[in-house]
Amino acid sequence: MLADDPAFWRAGAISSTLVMLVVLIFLTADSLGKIRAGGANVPAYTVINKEIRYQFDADTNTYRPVIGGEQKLFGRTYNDEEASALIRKGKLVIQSRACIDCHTFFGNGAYYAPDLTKAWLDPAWEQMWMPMTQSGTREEAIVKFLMHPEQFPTWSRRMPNLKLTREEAEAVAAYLKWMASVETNGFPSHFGHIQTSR
Amino acid sequence: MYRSQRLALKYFVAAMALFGVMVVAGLLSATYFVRDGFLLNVLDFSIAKILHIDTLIIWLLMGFIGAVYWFLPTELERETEGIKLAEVMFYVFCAAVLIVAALFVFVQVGPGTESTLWLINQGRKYVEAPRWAAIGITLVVLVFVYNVVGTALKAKKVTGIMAVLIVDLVPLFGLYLVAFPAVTNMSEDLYWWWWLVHLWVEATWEILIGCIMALALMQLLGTSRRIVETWLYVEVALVLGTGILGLGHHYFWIGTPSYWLAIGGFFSALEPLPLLGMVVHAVYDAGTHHMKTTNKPAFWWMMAEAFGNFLGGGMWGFMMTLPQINLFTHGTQWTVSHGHFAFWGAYACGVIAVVYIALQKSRALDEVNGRPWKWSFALLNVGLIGMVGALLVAGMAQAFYERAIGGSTLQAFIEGQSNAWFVQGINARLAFGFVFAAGYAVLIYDLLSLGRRSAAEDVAGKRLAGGRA
Amino acid sequence: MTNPAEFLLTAALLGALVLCGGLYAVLYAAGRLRASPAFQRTGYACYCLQCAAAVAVAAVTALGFGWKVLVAASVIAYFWIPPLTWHYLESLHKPKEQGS
Repeated sequence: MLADDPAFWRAGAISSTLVMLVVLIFLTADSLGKIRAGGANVPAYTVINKEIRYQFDADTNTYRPVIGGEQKLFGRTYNDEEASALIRKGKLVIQSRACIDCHTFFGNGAYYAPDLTKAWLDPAWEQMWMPMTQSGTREEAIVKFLMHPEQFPTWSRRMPNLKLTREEAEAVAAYLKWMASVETNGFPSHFGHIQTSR
Repeated sequence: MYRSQRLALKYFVAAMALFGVMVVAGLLSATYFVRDGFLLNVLDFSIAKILHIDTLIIWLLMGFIGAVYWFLPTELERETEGIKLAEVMFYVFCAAVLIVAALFVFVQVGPGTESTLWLINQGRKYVEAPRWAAIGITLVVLVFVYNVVGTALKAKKVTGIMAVLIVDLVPLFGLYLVAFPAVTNMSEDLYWWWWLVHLWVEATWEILIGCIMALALMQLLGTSRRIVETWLYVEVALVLGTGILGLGHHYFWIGTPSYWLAIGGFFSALEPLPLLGMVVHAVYDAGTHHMKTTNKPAFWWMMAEAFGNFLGGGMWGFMMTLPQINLFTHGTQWTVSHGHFAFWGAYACGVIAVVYIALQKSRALDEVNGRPWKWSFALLNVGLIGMVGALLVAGMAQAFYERAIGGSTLQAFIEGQSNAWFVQGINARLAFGFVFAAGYAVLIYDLLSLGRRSAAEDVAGKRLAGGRA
Repeated sequence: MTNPAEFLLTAALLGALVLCGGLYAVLYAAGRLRASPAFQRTGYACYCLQCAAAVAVAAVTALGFGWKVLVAASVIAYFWIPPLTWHYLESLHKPKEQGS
């Protein structure tokens, strides 16, 4: 019987692996084009100069990020180079403080603290932290919170003070704003909108 | 005994010690959920979590490397090539692990610069080890590759298992290089990071443990080479045929195009099918060989591997893997439940089985049995299943209240975490964690005292008349 | 999903589906091993439960049509895997036992 012959299965193993790998390589080439900053799914870093919303889209039946008009960050507009440098810095801060080992990004990471995918759009910034930190803007509230989380607790589980400098905290705020603009196929579902059970 | 096998025993000792560190760090991590403010600003959750998951990876990897050093000389009937270098690298590996652990505990994090990533912490899940240590691990793996390939070349003999193993070492080494770059764009970063995590864990490691289990089966049950090799090929075909594009289930929400929803969901639905075949195979082996084996614990741990893999990988995976469900379950304690069960079933049980096989040989025991292994087997499995069940309850509550109803904001997160089902689940997880830890303690006692206990303590740990080999 | 509770039910059904498939495989194999019709019958009962889970997935969940077809197709595969694997294992082991 053919299936009793190891050579048959060896050929099967090699060919199925190769076919899948080739498919994966093609899909990877396509995906990488779409997820580079400025690609179809991931806006360029200068998106931090725009207003970002997350709205229901009836065509796809999911929530999608919507890029609006000009909206300054820290009272200024960043050019290409400045925006890239700021976002780069933000990522280095996020890695150096191991943020992902408490939080999640796009749902990946640890599960001890909230998901940060759309954290920029969290209503808590305006409802709680802007008054608490006496800040006039969302980004200012983020910076103050990140630098001194112990002064602005909102719950009994608290964030440690990771000794961020002002420059580092600003970079993280910018990173969160950029990340909120990424098209994530509707994850997290209806962020910021409470759904009632029927 | 070959020097390679003595080195293997050292790797097993290190692996079992790190297994213990993982258990302690796990108990610690679970405690933060139960007691707010626990060790805040002293040893934060993130650090305990890093220790927990990084030691998991390292102890399994050490177990695999040890297992290969164990079986390699008997498979090729000669001493491992470059064994001296391999022995040196073992100490390099251990020293690197110790220094990194000390760095994590005492330095923890650094300023947001490249030098932090080089020296202290890379802050990427599973591969937090700073770059200098990652280079060390790369060197260890390179020497390991050289040992395996060099021995095969010197022996002028490539068995089917060895061929699969050697081919598998290429991605094992190559994918680890993903541990180095710090990509700015989170979507691109996670895209490659999943190559490392998924293609290591759900492809390369699966094949590696498949080779190890094939070698173990021949030694433990005397199964013929033709049979285990055929099975290995079947496994490679099915695991890689479904697993490579199963990668897609990690590409649902990271910014990647929506076609991954269909691809990931489709291949994930196929992933339980090969595991079903393995369950049938396990029952077949149990029936035909059960009475003949002289190493009961190894045999039972291999059974646990087949069933744990099916339940943890297959059932727990399929429950949450279709996109419409994963939208809510992704990144909750539900994922944690699946992760614990799958790692345990797919790898941990297998490594423990191999350690028992190696000990039987090295201590020249004609039979391995007794009471302690039964206790550790029961406590570890009950503890693990308890944790997994408790986390599933917590995860369901979290997915429902935080994600499906609350809309995933901070407020929704707090409501999910405060929900009574979640709280009870997370408490029960810690309780079962202690059961698991007790099982670990008994396991270590058994491994240490096997064949050294007096006959009164243990009727079955009989030595061969000839003593040590 | 229109109703938040629905995904929990769907997940539970899919989990039950795989679990029943696993039980069927174990009982089928045990039945062959011991030549026990009782085991085999219980195994087939588990498979019927699996089919019931698949029907429930199709009837009451909000999964897309394609996913329902996939679930149905996989349930058919679940039926054949245990007997095929068993048959294959036996034929693989036979020559060796005759030889030894």
